[in-house]
Amino acid sequence: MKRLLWAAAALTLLALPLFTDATLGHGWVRILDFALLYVLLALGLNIVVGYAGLLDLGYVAFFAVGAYCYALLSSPQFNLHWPLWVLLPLGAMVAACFGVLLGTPTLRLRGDYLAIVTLGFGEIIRIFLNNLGAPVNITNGPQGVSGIDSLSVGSYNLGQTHGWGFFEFVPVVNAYYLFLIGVLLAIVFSHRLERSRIGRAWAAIREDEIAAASMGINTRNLKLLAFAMGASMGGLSGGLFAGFQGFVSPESFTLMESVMILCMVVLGGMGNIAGVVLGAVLLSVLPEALRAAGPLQQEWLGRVVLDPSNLRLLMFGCALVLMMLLRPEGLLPARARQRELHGE
Amino acid sequence: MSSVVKPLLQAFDIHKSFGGLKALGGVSLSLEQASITGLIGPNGAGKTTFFNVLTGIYKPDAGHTEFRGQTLPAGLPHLVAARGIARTFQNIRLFANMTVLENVMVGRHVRTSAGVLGAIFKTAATRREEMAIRARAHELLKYVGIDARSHHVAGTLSYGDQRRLEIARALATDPFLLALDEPAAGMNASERAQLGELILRIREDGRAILLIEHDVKWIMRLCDFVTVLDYGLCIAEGSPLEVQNDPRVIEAYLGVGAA
Repeated sequence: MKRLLWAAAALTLLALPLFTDATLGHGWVRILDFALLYVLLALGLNIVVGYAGLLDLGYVAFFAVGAYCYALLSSPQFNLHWPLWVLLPLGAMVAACFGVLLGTPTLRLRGDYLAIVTLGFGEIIRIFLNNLGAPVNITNGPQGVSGIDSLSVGSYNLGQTHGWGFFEFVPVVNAYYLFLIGVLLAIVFSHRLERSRIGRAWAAIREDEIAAASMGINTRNLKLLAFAMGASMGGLSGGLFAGFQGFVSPESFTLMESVMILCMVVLGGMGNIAGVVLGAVLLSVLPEALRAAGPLQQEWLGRVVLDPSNLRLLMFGCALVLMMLLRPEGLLPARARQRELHGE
Repeated sequence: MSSVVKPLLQAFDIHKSFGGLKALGGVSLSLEQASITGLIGPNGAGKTTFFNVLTGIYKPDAGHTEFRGQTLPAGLPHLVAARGIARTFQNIRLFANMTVLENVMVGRHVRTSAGVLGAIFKTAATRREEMAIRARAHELLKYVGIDARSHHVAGTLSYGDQRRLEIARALATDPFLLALDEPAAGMNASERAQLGELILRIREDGRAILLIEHDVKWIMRLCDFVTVLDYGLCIAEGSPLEVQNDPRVIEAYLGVGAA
């Protein structure tokens, strides 16, 4: 029975983009692609915030590092065209290094203070990217890097349409499958880390840092490890993003993105993989669905009363307030979080 | 204990101040192998500060500690634990939202080695290690008598059981010295007696115990040696009988003139 459910879930995931493409069109598959990238980001942030309990408000910086890593090494910018299987791990590793780099000065900070400093780091990275266009042009400044090679696995170019039998695999569908592999890997990694000696040590640090240290846990190294692991998933997501978009600019990596990713983790349920995935999918798909609110109002009321983009913010705000009042632990919380917030 | 055996631990002239407050003004102390030593003294005498310096939570202003022939790292609690000193806390510091079993499993961290790659690829070595951690944790919970509660959440245990769990978690680090900060605080007479038995059993296993306690009667019965702190200074040490009759101890506890 359980095996049957798994098979059904796998089939649904595999068929989803083809079905969506056939019914709703390319645009919606693209939304699914972005949802997967957000899931990857949220899973990465979940390691830092959910497992180790370190509030990071500059997480998008690692996404940026991964994206620029890919962009600079696979575009006409330096006329380099490295292959995907080098770039993605490299992006993840460079992001992990940045995670350690940004984590080191913040080791003594906790809670709000940590949040403020990480927020600052996130901005620093973005501003660097914005200004590294002169005197030596590295990032091309605010114009960003364009003409990035499209994702391709071996000789299979994901940026082109391939027909296999009845099915037509357009670029957005191809990307979906690649991103899905990334997400599944991230889920397996997260799950296994959580239930390992490392995951227990993170949980111990989250619960009581002094007691954890007294039990022989090297809190410094384990916190850095959490930053690095979280950052590497952000970097991976960034690389995929760059290859998918074909263009990156500092504008994509604002504080608002960090906040959004954190909202996904909190809304879904910090520390619980299923919750985090749900949070990321909801917050990336629902706002897109709300775009339909404009035409609907036109049809029913004869005019647009509430601008869809305002409606999005309104609903987002309401959702946040309701969540904090009714279910502060998230939609699908981790057991430990639920206990923390509601007693037993 | 014969004097030819080298002491397990020797602290030399430990100083620690907080701003203008001198919490420890040169405490020297030595602990024998497999002994129970009581650390007593009036409130504010510096007992817990000494514990915190010993276990690396505070860095002493001056002085050092030798443990099993090596100088202990100052201000690095995880290295102190690795050397074989484990502790409990005066105000219990369990990982309250984790299960009883998980708490003890965390204690095994320092004696195990699985890393990120082992965890991600679930290698045979990691799985073996994980099973050994689990088995050892259950063993320790049985040892302190709370194995039946292994899947309960630590924060929901009764006060006495939380104390026991803290001891089990500390024992999971395979310590040579177990430092207990007021383990019997808030316990009734029968719980105290049970705790005393547990402590004696731990010593029989070859571990030394250092404990802070206010119940002088209980400590005099239990301990092989007693050290008395007052105003950050060590004012007496010796067997319980010697200490009990030391005029300075009586003075510290009861006031000048009482002796």
